[in-house]
Amino acid sequence: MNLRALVVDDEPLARQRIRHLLRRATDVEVIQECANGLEAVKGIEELSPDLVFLDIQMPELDGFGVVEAVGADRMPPTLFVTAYDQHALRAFEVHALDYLLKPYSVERFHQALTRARRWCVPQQEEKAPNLEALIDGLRQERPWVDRLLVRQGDRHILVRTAAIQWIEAEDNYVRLHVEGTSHLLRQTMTGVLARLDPAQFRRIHRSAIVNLDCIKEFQPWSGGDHLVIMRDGTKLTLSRTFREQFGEWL
Amino acid sequence: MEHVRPRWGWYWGIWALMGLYMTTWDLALYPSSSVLRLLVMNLAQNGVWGVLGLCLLGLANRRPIESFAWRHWPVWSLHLLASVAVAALGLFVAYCISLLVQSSEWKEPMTWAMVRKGLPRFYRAYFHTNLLFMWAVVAAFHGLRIYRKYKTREVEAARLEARFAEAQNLALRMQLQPHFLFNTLNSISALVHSNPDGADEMISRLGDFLRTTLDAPPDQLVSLRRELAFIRDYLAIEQIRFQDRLQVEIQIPTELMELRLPGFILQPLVENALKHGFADRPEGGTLSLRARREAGDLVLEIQDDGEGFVPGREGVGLANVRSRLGLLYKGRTQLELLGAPGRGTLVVLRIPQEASPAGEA
Repeated sequence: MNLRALVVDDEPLARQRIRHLLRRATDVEVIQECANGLEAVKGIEELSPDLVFLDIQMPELDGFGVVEAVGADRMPPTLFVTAYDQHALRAFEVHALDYLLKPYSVERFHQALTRARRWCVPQQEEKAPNLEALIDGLRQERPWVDRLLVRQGDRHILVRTAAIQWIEAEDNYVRLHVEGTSHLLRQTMTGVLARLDPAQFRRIHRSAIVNLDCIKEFQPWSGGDHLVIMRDGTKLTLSRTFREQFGEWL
Repeated sequence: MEHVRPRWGWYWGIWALMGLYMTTWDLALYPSSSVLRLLVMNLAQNGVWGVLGLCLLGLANRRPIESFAWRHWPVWSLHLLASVAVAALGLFVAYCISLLVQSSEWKEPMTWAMVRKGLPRFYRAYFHTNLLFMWAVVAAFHGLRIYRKYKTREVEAARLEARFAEAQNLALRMQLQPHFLFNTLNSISALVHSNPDGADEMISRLGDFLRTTLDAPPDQLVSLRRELAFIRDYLAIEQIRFQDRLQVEIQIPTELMELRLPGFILQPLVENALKHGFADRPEGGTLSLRARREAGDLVLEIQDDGEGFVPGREGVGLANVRSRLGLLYKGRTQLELLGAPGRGTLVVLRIPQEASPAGEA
């Protein structure tokens, strides 16, 4: 069986090295190379490769960001490649993941590849590593993200969390209001709140989270509620239930 | 006990001024007296007080008042007694001087009887003022002592801060380098197959880069020439790593090459420009490095044509550059970030040249 592989690295030479080494492995075919995280998410979703060589340090959306954006459960078997990141290496050790450390030898590469092949063959003794546990573990250490990946039609857009003015609940989605436009994200309010820095984002209502930097004023409203007026004029409600978080101000 | 270095010019100057001041006072009281006589008398009297004040200073230097807590009462009492004694003695001598001056004016010899007759009245009139002077001497001593102590502490704190920043800076560079180093080695392992000459070039550039990093102590001023050589090595490696994506333009007039700047200050700024300027741009971009001289300062500009700096959180690299500049030049430098969405980021760094910075010693 031929394995269709995706190679993700922001450095052309690093991709070239993997491609070069894969020439010897006749059962693996590189179907696409991606130079950044966004391309990788797109590539994984569109091509459903059997195996992904994934660099960790990439600008904007890094390797872990790619796994999160695709969804750890939907991620194909992945071989992480990294130059140096003590943080990530510790996580790999904890979750007994195989990874490639740059620069790696030919032997080491083929050893890792042999192992990865076993993940890709169904009904084998070895299962692909549990990425969900890895991502959860990493998230506990660096819980807040600087960017969120949103889908718009067939495109992916990275939204800086600092640019989000407020977030509105919409059925099974949340709507991110960003400088005049808005994006839908398949996420729950609690889920998205957990990813945002609590020093900047607070929940004010069952269906609203605000960026504190974008609040202009608070006005007392009926029944213990408050009216929150945003810099762009949007009026939101701070319900009694969530008022205590603003205890220091109200 | 730390020794308080005295400022004798000030000490005697103030006593002399007091003498002049009292002369004007006496002139108001005895307008018919000779100005010269009054001046000589007052200067002599203040001179005596100055000499006696030295006793108080000597005592204060040996047994300074460390605190006003009750349990320190022996020290205060000692100073109180000493100042009373010194004031009394000083007044006695001063009275003798004034009698001497008067007797020379009246052309009759000064006698012991004259001293005994006028002394009690003189004490009643001047003792309290004189005691205040002596307290002022003791207070001034302690004031100076506290000020010096505070200054010493401040200097020590600044030194500690500089040390800390140095250590931190070194640690940061060490953190940054492995990543860069291993990625570069990985690129070389790709190049040896596809482009042996490129691999060769990269190895020698990497060698130069590492040599410079290992050689130079942090926080020492280097010439722009040296800093630029380092940046060129760094950029050459990055250019090979990112292949055609990175264009570099360096426009630096040769006459600026000997100007001084803190070593390794440019690299984090250039790295920042590469990181934020070329992220998510498969087509790559251009990095420009320019220098000029403006009002004596060295002005450096690093420009990328990337997505544009968005004000907000600055990275660790930039914060480190700021703190180093702050310690070295105490606010005489400027680091400005100008960005426009989609039109790149311009970093302007201004390094003063005229005086040596605080950290250079």
